[in-house]
Parts: sequence; C-alpha cells; structure tokens
Amino acid sequence: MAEDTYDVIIVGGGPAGLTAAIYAARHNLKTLVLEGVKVGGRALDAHWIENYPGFPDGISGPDLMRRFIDQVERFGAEVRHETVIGFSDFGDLKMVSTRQGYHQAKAVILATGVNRKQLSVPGENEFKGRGVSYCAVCDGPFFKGKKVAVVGGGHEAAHDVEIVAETAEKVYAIPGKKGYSDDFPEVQRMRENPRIEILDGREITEITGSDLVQGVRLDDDSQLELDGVFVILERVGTSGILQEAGVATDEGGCILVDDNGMTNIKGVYAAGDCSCWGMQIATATGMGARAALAAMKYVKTVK
Amino acid sequence: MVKVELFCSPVCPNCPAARRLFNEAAKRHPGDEFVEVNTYTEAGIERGMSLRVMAVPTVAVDGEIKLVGWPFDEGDLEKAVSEAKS
Repeated sequence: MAEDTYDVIIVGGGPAGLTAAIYAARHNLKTLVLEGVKVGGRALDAHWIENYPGFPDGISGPDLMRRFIDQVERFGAEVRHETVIGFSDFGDLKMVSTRQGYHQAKAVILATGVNRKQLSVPGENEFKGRGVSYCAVCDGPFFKGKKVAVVGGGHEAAHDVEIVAETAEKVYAIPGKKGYSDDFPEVQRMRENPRIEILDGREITEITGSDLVQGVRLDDDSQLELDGVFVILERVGTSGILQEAGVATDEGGCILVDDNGMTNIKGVYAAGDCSCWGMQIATATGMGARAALAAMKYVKTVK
Repeated sequence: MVKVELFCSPVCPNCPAARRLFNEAAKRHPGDEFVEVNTYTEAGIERGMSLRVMAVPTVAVDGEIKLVGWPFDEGDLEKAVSEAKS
C-alpha cells in the first residue's frame, strides 16, 4: 500500500468522530479526521450541556468540544479541515476525496452527523443571513412590515408561518408538493388570515437579489417579490455522497449499521447522529468508540 | 477604541453560546466598548435594521457587520475586533 495510507479515516469531527479518533489514535492506528465545517460539530451549538457524564455542574458545548479536540491532539490523530466530496470502496482500500485532494485508508468511519435540510436552490447560500433564515422565532422580528416566504410542509413550518405573520406584512406559505397535513390546526387559521397566502403545490427554484434577498422564482416560472425566505425543512442525514457510493441508508437517509457499527460495506463504519440513533452527545461518543474498536479489529485483517 | 455590538435574542438557541464568547472578548479588550443588543426590543430591532442585520447572532464592529449566524469561535471574533483596531 502507499506510504500515506491511513489505517482509519474518520469523516466528521463531531462527538462521534472525535471519540472514534481518540480510540483509534490511542491504539496507534494512523488516523485522519476530515471535517469540512467546524471541528466539534453540532455540539458547538449547545449552550449548556447538563446530561453529559462527568460534568455535574454542566459544561458548554464549545468547552466540551475543546476538551475532545485536546484529547484527539494528545493521541496524535491528524485533523484536516477538508470537505469530503466523494467516497469509493476498493475492497481493502477505501478512498475519500475532498476539495483538496484524496486520502486512502484501510477503514473508514462515517460520522457525518445531521443537518437542517437546505432548500438547495441557487441563491440560498449566497443570501444566508441576508434574508435567508433557518429560525423564524429568532429572525422574524427583522422582517416587520416586510414580505417573506416560509418554506416547508412540516408542523414546525406551519407554526412558524403564524409566528412570522404576527409582524410581517405578507407571508407566503410554501409547503411543497405534498402540502400541509390536514391534521395541523394552524392550516385553517392560516387560510383565514389575510396576511397569509398558501401556495399549495408550488416550490421555490431560485432565491434572487443583489446584496439582500429581493425575491424568489417558483417552479411555474412565476416570481414573488420578497425580503426574506425562512427555510424550515426537516432534518436529514448529510450523507448523500455516501449513499451514491453504495452505503445503505433508510428512507430518511440514516446510515444502517450492524451491532458493531459496520455499514453494508466491509471496513466502513458509521457512528453518531448520521445513523439517527440517540441524537445525544453521550450516545454519539459511545457509537464512535464502538466503531473505532470494530475498525481496529478489521484493520488487522487487511494486508 | 472600537464599538462591538452583539445582536442576539432571548429565544435564539445559539445566542447564549455567542454571548459567552462575546463576554470573554470584552474582558480581553477592556478599552473597547462591547454592547449587547436585544433584538426582542423595539430599540434593538431598529438598531439592527439600521445596520441591515437580518439574523441572530450577529456581531458588528463600528457599525459594520462582521459575523452572521452561528457557529463562530473565539478566533473569528478576535479577528473581527483586531482587524477593526488595526
């Protein structure tokens, strides 16, 4: 094998990935962690964590993750800020491609976490924080007297339509092709609210503007003049690339693993929120340790 | 001296963590003015809209938006303040 082949590549630098790195590196496996956003993952968002064992008074997410990172560094795992864009299985060798190049390893541990689903239309990333928001209750007050759209067909989205309509001049509710469930009590109120217009069956294809959001284009090619777009979509796994590479998932994108944390591909493991179990830091760390222990055994079998 | 403003809201789940970093930065820069702006008040919203703030948490230095949304870390905040002072 090439000299720069790692024993283990861990994709994702949240609690599961960092725990896997601690276990693997402590056992002298040549270990690489790839994290494209912030090392620490979604745990960084946690203001105060009161249920992580060992911290009876609680600890902030950033402080806890700083300790994880210190421990990873102490055992010598390599951490690179690179975004994974591809994954291939060549049997005893796995290849992980990033925007900077590619890395190869005997085993791979997927700890890609979950993320709030994006609309994934042109303009969304460009206007984040400049009219595109993912938290109606947080950012709604900035749109007082303005025109906005709330995208999403779930209950949270329906609820947020009403929240935003308390101050906005006009709210376009865009639930998507499936529409809202008839069970949502908000829907009837929305239909009776003159500030709210439900655009059933329509989808946004582009968010437009210059410095700030100025409008959206819909799938029937019509356009709406808007000041803001609230994207309130369900959470899903961030593992589309892995699915394309043949990693088995359920319908929601959650990676399927066996009792050892191994996916349907030999030598490829998954841990933490990307397998949609627990969604807690404590469960993620446990799964990270389990995957690393299994990967250690597997790596010994690879020549 | 620079004026550093943190726009945050009591209902924003990420704002407490941002506030913690902000307060730590304030201690590192005792000669500068660090002001927290509550965007759940009329005055806070007006101030935010005057700078074209559209999301919380947002950090502005001398009236210029530097950091929008979460996460950002101590280094990001330190860089924003230091660049304004240089």
